[in-house]
Amino acid sequence: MSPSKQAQRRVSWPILAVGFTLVLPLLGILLSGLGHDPHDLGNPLQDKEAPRFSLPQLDNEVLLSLQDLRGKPAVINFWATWCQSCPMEHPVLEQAAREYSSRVQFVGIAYEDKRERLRAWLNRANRGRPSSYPTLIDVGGKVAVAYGVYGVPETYFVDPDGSIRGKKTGPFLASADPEKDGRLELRRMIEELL
Amino acid sequence: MSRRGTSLWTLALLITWLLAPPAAAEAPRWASDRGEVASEEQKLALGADVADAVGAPAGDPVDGEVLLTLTEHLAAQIRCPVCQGQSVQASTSEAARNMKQQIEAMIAAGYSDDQVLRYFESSYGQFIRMMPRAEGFNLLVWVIPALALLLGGLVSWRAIVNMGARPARSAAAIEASSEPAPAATTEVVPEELQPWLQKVREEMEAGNG
Repeated sequence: MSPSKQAQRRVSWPILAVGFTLVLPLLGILLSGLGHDPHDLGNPLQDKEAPRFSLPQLDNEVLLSLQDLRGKPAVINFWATWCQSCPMEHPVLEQAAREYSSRVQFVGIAYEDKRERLRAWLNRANRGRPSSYPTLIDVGGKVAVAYGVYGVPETYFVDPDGSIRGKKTGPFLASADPEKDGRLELRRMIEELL
Repeated sequence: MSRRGTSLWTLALLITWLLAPPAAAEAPRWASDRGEVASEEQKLALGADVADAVGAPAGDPVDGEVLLTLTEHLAAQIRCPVCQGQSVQASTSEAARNMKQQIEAMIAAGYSDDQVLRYFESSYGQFIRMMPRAEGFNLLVWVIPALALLLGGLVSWRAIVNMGARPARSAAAIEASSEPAPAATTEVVPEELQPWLQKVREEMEAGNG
């Protein structure tokens, strides 16, 4: 028997067909995911009502709720003193909070942190001046769970009606490069709420 | 041991490994404690967002040992969002601890497993389920491994059957090769080479003699 005939006999077409049926869909799934950022898991709360909360403020322990923020767009920033990029993001948020103070409500929610450490950290970061926006304490992290927070910092943009219109995973960092400047990105996301 | 016996033994080991239950997971100890310790009241408190997301509890409040058992069971079905392929039950991260406390609070209030899963899904998306819902595109997750197992089983079976048949064929082939070459072989040798072939045969016979 010639080698070509032997090779023909070795191919089992049914098995080959089943193999292709299994491999091709998997290959399709693999290829479709190649251009996707694995860290971008989307935001299931996008355009949905922001989860309600009521948390004590760091300064005076008075409860602040989402309801209190209604009527104005809100920027809700989850952060922590142990977070490496939060110190770099803090001046950007402070500046924006001062700039938009009459039109936008900024709120910080401390994630897995302690009151004494937060007070000392903010005092140092603000050089003794009061913060431009309140920081709330989320003991047990239930509000963070409600918002689907993966890590800090994460920032949510809530419109005056209480719906989430945007989310930023990671810090807003100042940069000389306009393409990478977090200040411009933050301003753009705020302007979309107004 | 024969090759067939070895193959069957390997197949049996593979099936045993596949069917073996996972090792019992131990209760996690938290990797770090950077936040304030929640009081028992805070642990079991539910925010207004829970009822907004999944409505009123479907069942009666639960406590004691049953609450702990149900919490562990459900925590094993929810993914830790900051870990690599670990459930909330298995992870030692603070995020997992917070989520586990929320699971416990919801079960204690009477929320069903489905309600708890839907609550976490509303915040984190379907990714948060360790086992995706068996519907639509997700069905591939169930169908493809089953098909692959079936195909693998067929291929293995065929290989094992062929392994058993090969020694018999080999023995027959050796027997055939020991027989003298058929006379017809000489017919294919060109005419001009026949004297040389004859000479070789004579020399071989002389050598054997």
